[in-house]
Amino acid sequence: MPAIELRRVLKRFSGDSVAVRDLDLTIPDGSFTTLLGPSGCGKTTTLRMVAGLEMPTDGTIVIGDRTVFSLEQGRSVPPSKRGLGLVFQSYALWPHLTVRQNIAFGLEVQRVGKAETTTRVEEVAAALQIEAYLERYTSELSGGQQQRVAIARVLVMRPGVLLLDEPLSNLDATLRMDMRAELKRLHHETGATVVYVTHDQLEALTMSTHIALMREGVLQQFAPPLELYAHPANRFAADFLGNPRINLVPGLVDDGAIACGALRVPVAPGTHLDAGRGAPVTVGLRSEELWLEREDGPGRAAARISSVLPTGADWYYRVALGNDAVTVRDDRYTDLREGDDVWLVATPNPLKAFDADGRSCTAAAGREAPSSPVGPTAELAGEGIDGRPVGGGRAAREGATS
Amino acid sequence: MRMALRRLRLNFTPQRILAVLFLLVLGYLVVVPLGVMLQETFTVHPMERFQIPGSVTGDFTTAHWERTFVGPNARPFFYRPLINTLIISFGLSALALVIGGLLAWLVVRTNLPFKGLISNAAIIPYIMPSWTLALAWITLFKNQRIGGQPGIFQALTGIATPDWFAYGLFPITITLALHYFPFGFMLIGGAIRNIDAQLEESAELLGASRATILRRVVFPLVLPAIFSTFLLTFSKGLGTFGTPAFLGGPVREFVLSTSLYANLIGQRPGIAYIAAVVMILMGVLVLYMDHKIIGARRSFVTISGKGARAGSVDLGRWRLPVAAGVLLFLFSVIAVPIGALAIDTLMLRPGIYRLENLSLHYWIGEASLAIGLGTGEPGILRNSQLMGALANTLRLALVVALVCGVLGMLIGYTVVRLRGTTVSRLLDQLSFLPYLMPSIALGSIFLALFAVARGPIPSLYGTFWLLAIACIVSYLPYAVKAGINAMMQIGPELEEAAIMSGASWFTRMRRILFPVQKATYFSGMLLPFISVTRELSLLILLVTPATQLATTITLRYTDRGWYPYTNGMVLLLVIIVITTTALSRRIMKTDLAKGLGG
Amino acid sequence: MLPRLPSHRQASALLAALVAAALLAFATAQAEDWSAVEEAALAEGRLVVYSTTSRTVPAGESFQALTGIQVEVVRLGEQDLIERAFQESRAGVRNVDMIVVEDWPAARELLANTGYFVNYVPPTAAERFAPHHQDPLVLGYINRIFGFNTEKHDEDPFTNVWELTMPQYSGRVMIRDVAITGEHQNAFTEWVRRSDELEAAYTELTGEALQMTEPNAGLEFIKRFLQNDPIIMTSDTRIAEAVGARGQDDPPYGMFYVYSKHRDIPLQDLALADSRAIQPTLGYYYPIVLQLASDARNPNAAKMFMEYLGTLEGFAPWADSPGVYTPNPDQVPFEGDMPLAWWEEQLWGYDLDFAVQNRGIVLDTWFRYAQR
Repeated sequence: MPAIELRRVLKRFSGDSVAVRDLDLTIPDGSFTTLLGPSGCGKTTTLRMVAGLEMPTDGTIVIGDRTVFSLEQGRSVPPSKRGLGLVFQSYALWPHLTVRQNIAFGLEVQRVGKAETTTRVEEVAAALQIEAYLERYTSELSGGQQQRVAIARVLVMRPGVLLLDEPLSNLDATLRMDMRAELKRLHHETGATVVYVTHDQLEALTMSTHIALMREGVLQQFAPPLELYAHPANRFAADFLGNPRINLVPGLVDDGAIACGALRVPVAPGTHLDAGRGAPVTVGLRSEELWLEREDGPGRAAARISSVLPTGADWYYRVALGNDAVTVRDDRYTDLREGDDVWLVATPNPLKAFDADGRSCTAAAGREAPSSPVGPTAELAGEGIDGRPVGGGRAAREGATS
Repeated sequence: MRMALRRLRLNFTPQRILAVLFLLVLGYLVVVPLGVMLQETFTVHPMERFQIPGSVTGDFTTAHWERTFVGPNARPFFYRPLINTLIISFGLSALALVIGGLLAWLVVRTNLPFKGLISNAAIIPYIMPSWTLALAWITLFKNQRIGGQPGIFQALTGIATPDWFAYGLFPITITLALHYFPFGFMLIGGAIRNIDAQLEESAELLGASRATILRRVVFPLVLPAIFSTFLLTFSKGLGTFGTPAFLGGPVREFVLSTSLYANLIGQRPGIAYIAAVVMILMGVLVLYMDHKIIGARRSFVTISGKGARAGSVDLGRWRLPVAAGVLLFLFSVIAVPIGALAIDTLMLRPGIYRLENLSLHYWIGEASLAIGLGTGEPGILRNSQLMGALANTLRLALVVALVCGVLGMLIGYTVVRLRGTTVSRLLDQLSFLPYLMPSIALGSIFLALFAVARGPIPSLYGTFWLLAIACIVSYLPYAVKAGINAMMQIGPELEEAAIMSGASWFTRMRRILFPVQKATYFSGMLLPFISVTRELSLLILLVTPATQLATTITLRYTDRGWYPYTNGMVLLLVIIVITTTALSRRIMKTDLAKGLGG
Repeated sequence: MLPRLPSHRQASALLAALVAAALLAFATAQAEDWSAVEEAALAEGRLVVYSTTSRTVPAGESFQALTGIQVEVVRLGEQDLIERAFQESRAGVRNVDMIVVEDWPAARELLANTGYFVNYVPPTAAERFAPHHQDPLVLGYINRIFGFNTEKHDEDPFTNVWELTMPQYSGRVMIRDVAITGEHQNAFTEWVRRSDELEAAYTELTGEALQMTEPNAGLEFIKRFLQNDPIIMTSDTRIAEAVGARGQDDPPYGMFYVYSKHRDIPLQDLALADSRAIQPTLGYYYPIVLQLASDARNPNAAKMFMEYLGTLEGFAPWADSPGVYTPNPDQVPFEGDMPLAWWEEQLWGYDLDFAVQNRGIVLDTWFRYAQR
């Protein structure tokens, strides 16, 4: 299955607004790559340029070994000749056709024989469990069923590249969970290169092998999900991924730690820190990298609980720290109440600190080097419910409190 | 430079090619006539030279403009008629909005009975020629001033109607409003229907009063439809000639179109076309206001497809009385004029309404010089010339409707796909312009444009196609409105999905974009169809014996006062159009409202 | 000599031959060889006529029955006909062979003076029509008269046109809108031209000199007439019916409506009569003119049809009502009507040159006072 390479791709809309700026991105062969970012970041435009529905203002796009767009060569391969399929956010099912006619349309247009068309339609319908609805009109189907029809319509063409534009945004929460698993299964079964657009970081973290994080038309970071989570390249990446949102606390570089007021954030030995002593930085602390103590101790900072937010599985606390408020996850207590005085401990894993420009100054791996092939970490990430990295943090925490 | 060329080549999308094509074609068919018209206003014509000292035919002159706007006669020639025209146009638009809006609200938002019947019938007044209502008004309300048999109202009540009520601006406004209120009904009805009830409900939950909801929520959402109605009815009010001349003459109240016609008949086209240009300019002004005020807003009125239908207002014990009132109203604006026409065709001796005078002579009688009016003409149904002309009319109406439908779809496609660009706006407005041009002027200009071969266009003189082109250009605005409306409701991804499947542009049009909005396109064809059947002034200069139409051939009967024939033909056309509308409603699920972009 | 005709046309072909032979006799007076015209006409086999009068249709039908030459008639309004013939000729479209046209001042200006149409005098007209009916060739004259309701008036109530500007006729006189009636505009130019006669008529009626604010008595009449609240109509038929309807207490009066509507008096049981006393003119009369297209495709068929229209047989469709008069002196007037010669004495026509130069002024004056 083909890799997709975008070289210096620029998209400018009329009125000089730039949707995508000089995008260099190589989507690995067979990967499940998510284009992630807030709305207006250029992710859908990028997808549509890959599909051929949007003409880049400049640059080159290569799919597999074929240049499908190059301004220099004056070449633009029509969408249907690029060997890819696109599932639209709104599904774009044709309301005047039955499910069968919807799925068969592309085959008919390509003049595939009647018999083969029927076989392939039924095959793909079976794979997506929509055989029962083949003769219905799409308006008679539920949202989830429509979604499956939209995917079936694409898969029946056996594309090497599957493009999905926020396909789950119109589904309710439970259906969304099912479809995520289904899409991952499809990725495995077809082996196609999947390019998936979403603004939902959870979706990106759970499903992708790679995430390309975009903001205002500029690629922020391209990395496997866990790497992105652990080593955000900048404040925006740190802030955008993770739920609840990362706590960003200002501090000053000190010896072996970063002092955020009374709270000392330890800098593990061997950690590369791109800032000298006394330099102001912003420390990124995820909620699981903070915990609460009832007593004062070295490096702890006095704080007060402003609200308790149990989710059932986890206990979250909103804690006032000086003028800042931070979110802490700590499952060890059930008796803490609003207004209680506590002490805050920071155990970053790994340390995430950002300079005044928002660039990471702790990055080692994963910040610059974009592509790493599909690996076990990615698989692992898929297993996690909310993308929380599993690792030493918890153990260290247990140890410290006992 | 080479890059720019490459980019250009890469950007050869179907909509761009179509845009260029349509701009060229519409440029020729719309802009050139406008230019010709303007040029005429600066030219000395043969009969005008006597009033412009020292001039020779064909000279350039500004005399026409001067005498129209600043001369000592400007007031009687121009400003007074202009004021009357504006009174009529504003009045008729307001009335059409009130009647149409009220009916629309009753049908869409209340538990009124007979909704189906009412919404079908509410469109018929537009299907009938506007002068039938003027005629009916005179028959009902005329007083002694214009002599003859007394009006029916006076005959029944013994009360003589005052002149202002029987003739002049008041009845002109009323009868035109009764003719055009279906526009308001269709457009506003469509808009109310599309309002997401949740919007109203949420406002209600916030504690807004009914009046506040109407003012703050419903009104803004219906505003685009109100403006559309206003635009369509107002511009019709500017250009209408027949009704104002017929009803205004007895009390000598004249309008701008009188000036247009009178100066054409007086062989002073230079002055005549100034009236036409002023009408067009006023229409453009309304169009501009519409774009200025509504432009951005129009987009959010498109059907969301979601959201619950609003709960209907319970009329309570008023339910039946209101329904009766509405039906009575519709009955009087439909059945009375139709009935009057029908009865006139059955009276052997016109105007003598006695049972023994009843006859089918004018329908099926043999040619005779002794019976009835002694016309020596066979009855309508056995009159091969009349039937032939009727067949021509239907053929023309069908062809025009089809071509308009296809063009409307393609232009709508181009306009919507290129939305936000100058080209799109230009195309949108250019295709609406013919709506504002007086048809009598258009007909003459088309004759001049197409009588001889010009470049690649052969002479179309005397052909069916010349008639067709004139009608197509004239009625394109309806079809384009429908086309734009249809395309607005099709998300671009429906087409893109087909592009991804490898469907060619033609296949996409044929198999996706057309069938999805079939009903709207057919609706867009219906209005041109209706309009062609009663068109006269546009076509009178273009018909030849081989292409005689029902309306043009009927002239010879009108001339001689043989109204049973005229009325019979009108009646036949009305029946055909109503049948077509009803059939297409049933078969194609057309809705005239969609044809207007509601 | 004759073209081959289908057998069922044998009879008419024979007739045509007879007519042709008969006409040949007249043709001797002409420089033109009429029999050659006829032969060529039959070969042409058809012609296209634009006509303002719809009776050209039955005339064409009887001509076709007689000769086998097919006549296609396009019925057009006065202005439409001129506009269309003008635009077509200018563009070089050779569609029409001859026109039957009213509003001759305008038509002459746009169609004859431009050379697009020429006058032609066929044998019968040359032989029988008085010279002033030959150029332009007149098919017939129409007269427009003043009418009143005979239930109200046993006797002609009119004596003088100026009465129509006086209080007793306020709000009671109907006239077709001068603004949309080219012939009315032409007629009023004659009232301008003969201003002195009009002024004298005023003095005769009132015993006083006419005090004018307008430049002449013709325009003064228009002003006073309009200030006397006339009723502007769009159709002569409706005027005749309104004036003549029975059972009215205060019927209106008709001005300048076509006398031919009086044909319907018995059919519609109207109490309607025309004034034969009103001074200085009983109304006006104007010609329906025949002209030949200078580049006609079927000039001979057109000539033959023009010849036919000059005969009593050809004129028959017009002769079935009063108010239309062929210049052919053999015509017997319609019952109750007078011959053309009588009307020529009693009615004003109009001077072509004067009309074409002054009708703009008439229209302007009308406009100035028409609006209430």
